Amino acid sequence: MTGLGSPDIPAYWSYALVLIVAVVVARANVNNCVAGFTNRWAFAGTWWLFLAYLVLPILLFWFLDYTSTLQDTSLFAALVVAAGYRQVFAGRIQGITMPGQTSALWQPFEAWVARTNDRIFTRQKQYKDRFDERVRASFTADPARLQQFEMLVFERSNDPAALTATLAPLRTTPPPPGAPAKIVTTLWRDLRMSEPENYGYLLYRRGLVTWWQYWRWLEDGRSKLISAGIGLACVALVVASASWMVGSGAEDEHWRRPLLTYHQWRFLKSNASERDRWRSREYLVAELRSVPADSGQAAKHTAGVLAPLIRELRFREIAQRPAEDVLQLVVDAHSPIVTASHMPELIDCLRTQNYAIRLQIHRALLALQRAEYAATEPDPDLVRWVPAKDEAAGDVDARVRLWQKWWNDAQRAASGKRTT
Amino acid sequence: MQAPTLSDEALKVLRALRERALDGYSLMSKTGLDRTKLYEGIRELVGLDLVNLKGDLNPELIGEAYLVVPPSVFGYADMLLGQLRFKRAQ
Repeated sequence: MTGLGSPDIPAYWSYALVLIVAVVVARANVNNCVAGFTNRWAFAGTWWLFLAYLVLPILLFWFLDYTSTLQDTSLFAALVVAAGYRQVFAGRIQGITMPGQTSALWQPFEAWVARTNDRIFTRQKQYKDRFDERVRASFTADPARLQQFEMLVFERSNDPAALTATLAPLRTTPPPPGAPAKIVTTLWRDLRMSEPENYGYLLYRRGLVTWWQYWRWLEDGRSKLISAGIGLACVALVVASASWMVGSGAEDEHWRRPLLTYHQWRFLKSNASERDRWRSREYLVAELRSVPADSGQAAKHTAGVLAPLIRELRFREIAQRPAEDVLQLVVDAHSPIVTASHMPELIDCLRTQNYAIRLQIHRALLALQRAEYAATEPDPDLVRWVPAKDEAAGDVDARVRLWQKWWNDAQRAASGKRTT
Repeated sequence: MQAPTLSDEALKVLRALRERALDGYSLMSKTGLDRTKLYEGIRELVGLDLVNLKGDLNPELIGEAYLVVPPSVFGYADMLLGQLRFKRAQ
């Protein structure tokens, strides 16, 4: 899949695309899984199922990118995973193979779907029984309503004569024990038999059940109410998030921080596509070139952009490519304010246990010295230093201290230049 | 594997339940079966695990029962119903 020629788009658009397609696919899957129940959206289980179907392709897309099976900036890969994640799990999509035994994860998921279906089935039966029981109890308790109900049943009965005969032993004097309840049950069964689909509507039209009872239990009212409530909550969440994003905080617009974090993540991502890396580099360079005029603010702004990237240089196992990219960014974006803000941190990164990265940092420091502080020469020993594999910690520390001494001198020279 | 031969009652019930979950009363109305025939059809399908049932599997109380085709057998149920359509077409 990585070899597939696909438009390379920013990862946030890929994930958004996966999410949008996943909403449609999840809805279709849930409707299929619990197809038997017309009021399926009235159950928490259905919503959990929907959420699982929604999150699953997003997690799968991230996982496949993490394992370098595909790239999360590939438009086609996003569409394939979003629409066909079941086939991906089953290994039926050429070029996308789930690593190891991960495809076996689909089986417990299917078992969970079956359990959810069964739970909804049980609840549905309970709700129906509860509605019937409540309505029947109201007839038993109120003779006037029972009379009205009886009229309705006889009007609609398939066999009024048989119904009269069934009721006769229950209407003797004195009545047999539990006669009112038995009469209601007999009438109820007859109505259900003669009007299996419309009995609720008929009861409502005769005023024997309220509109709310009828709509809620027999017209999927709960399902509609819950769906509308969740839909409104989602819209409110999106509107609130959007208005917060476009709003401004104490320093700048709220959207800037997440976007910066996103580009820092992409810039350090070892399996990012070349175009993705370039996009993030362009963004970070633009951020470093648009520093505020105030020196304090500028230092803070620069630190916000570079500090998380430079910090990664301390990690021993950092891949060569991201480390080179970070150092190239640091050198390319040099300016008096930018360089001054990260120099001490960069010097301290020389203590990394990765000697190859230490060499790169050392070269970057020399380049920055020539570009910004040419007037202050570092120690000649330091210039000649070539970090090696088995260098003792003490030797590295001595070089770090030499660089720190140079930095103090360079700063003093720079401030002296400014005062004169 | 040889597909089981379902009775007409069972096929009628299965076709109705493949659309949605139904109670016994609605099934009687949709399939045109009486209590006894409906009970026999349901018993056959329950025995083959083609439907799930909540309530009593009893001819007297079959109207109160609630039934559904579980999603795990959708494919199998469709195959059985498809075979019937194919036979009729022949």
